[in-house]
Amino acid sequence: MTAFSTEKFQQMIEPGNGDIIDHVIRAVGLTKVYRMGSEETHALRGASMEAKRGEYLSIMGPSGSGKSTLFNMIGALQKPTTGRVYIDRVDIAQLDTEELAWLRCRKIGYIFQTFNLIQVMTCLENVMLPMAYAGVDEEQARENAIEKLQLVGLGHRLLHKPAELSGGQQQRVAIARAMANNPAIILADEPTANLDQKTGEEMITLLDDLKKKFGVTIISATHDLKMLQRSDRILWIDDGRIVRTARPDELDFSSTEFH
Amino acid sequence: MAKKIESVQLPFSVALQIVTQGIRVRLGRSLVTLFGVLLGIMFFSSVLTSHLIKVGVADEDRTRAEANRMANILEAELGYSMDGRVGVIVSGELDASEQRLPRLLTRRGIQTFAFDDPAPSGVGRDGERVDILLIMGSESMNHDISGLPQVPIAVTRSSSEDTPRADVPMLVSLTRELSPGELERREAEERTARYRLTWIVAIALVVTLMGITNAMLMSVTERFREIGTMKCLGATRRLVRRIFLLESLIIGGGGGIGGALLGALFSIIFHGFLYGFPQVMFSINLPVLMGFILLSAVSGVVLTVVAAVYPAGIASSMLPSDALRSNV
Repeated sequence: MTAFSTEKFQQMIEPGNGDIIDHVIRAVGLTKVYRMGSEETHALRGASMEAKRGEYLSIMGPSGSGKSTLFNMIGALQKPTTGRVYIDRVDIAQLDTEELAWLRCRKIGYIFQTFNLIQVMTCLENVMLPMAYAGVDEEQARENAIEKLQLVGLGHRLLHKPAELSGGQQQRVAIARAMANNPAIILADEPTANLDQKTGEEMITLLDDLKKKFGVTIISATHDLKMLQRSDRILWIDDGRIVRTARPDELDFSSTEFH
Repeated sequence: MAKKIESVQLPFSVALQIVTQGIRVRLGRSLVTLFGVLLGIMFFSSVLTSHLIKVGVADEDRTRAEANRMANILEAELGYSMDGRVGVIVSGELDASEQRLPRLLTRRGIQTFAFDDPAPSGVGRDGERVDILLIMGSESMNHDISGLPQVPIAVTRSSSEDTPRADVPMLVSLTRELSPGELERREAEERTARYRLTWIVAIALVVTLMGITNAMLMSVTERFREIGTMKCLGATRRLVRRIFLLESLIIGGGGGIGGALLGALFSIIFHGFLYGFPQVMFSINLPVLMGFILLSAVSGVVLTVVAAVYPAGIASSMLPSDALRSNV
């Protein structure tokens, strides 16, 4: 089995000038070209961004803007054609598949629009799964999972299967699962899109609480106004580039661009 | 980030738990796959068992016919004396029909007794009368017959080319010699049977392999999203591959063992009705049957795992982002 050695780890660290770097994700000049036969599609044309530790960052963009591609890259789910992604200062392009699995397991928690719970497992088992991957022993994992489920307000639904839960409850389980290995980053892909407004707001509050409580960095792709308003920063992406960055208080949410 | 990073690993028990859980929850599909393996292996096992039974029954028939033929000759040699006595000398290994011969003679009212050899001159050990001496076994034609009583001697393995011996009043050969044509025909028949068997078995195995691959591929495609999710949560390629191979191992084990046993049983029952159960039971070579059942079961497991290698490879090498995007 692969193990990160300290030396290898050192080599992968982003070159810096010795300053304290407080960003947890930094993407530099990302491009992504999809080839379909002779046709080339540029999903990203040199996107750069960074997220600070404990930041709540929202990414906005029309469909086809490259939003999903950027999202997948900072989540180590896809490799860029050119450019670099540093997570906790480690260049993830240099990681092999085992190391990427390690990264996904412990550094990043994913939340999906469609929840993506493993239907055949109970809530408890779903939350225990990432811990099993991380090699946590079963008793410990069970204890942690119960704690995480209580954190999202589902302490009474431990042994239910996802199909027996409402959408909001399923997304709570997904959040508990994302938090399972105490990741530094939570990536949420349209987490409220499949939920009604009220449930969506509950979800936003929950994420906000987690951010404050655990200092976790949250990056979400979203169109949800409520979510944008709670973010620390909003990035706009269009045609494969980051076209604008703003804080919510600089924006007029009643303007047409948000509707 | 931690100084020293342990690798992502999953204890075997957890993989097993995920797999058994998966099988339980997708019981319907798992059972269909299992039945696919079961039917294929059942066919395989029944073909092998049928072959074994047919060969056994044919051997049994041949043995009986041979023993009967030898008894008929001896009976004719003895003439119609109702109290004919046959002294039996065993020389070397006995074949199946020779083993039956004394019993068969007794049943026909001919007395048989073991003739001590070398015997005191003239008569048997206890001074009993002997009408004919029967020398049986693989060494019978080389048996030293000097010093035996001056009665007709029947030898089971002699051939007509053996030179007649002046010192013996009458040497009867019980061996049946096959004509070259007959030999050729029998060989051709055996060859055809062997080709047919190989062909049928090969087809059965290929069909089973295809069926299982198809079922495992379905199992992968319908779980794209699940695999993608697992990969996002940190599952390695190795783990994903292991989960699918383990699943196929369990299904292959169940289907293989069940199919092997059911196939043999089915074949025995079928031939039992055809030839009669005692005949079938009597002619089955039990160690070979066990071997065939084991072979079928192992083939089931191996085929299933081989069939799952490709789908498991697809599942394990899938990018998590692709797996998540699929709408299967």
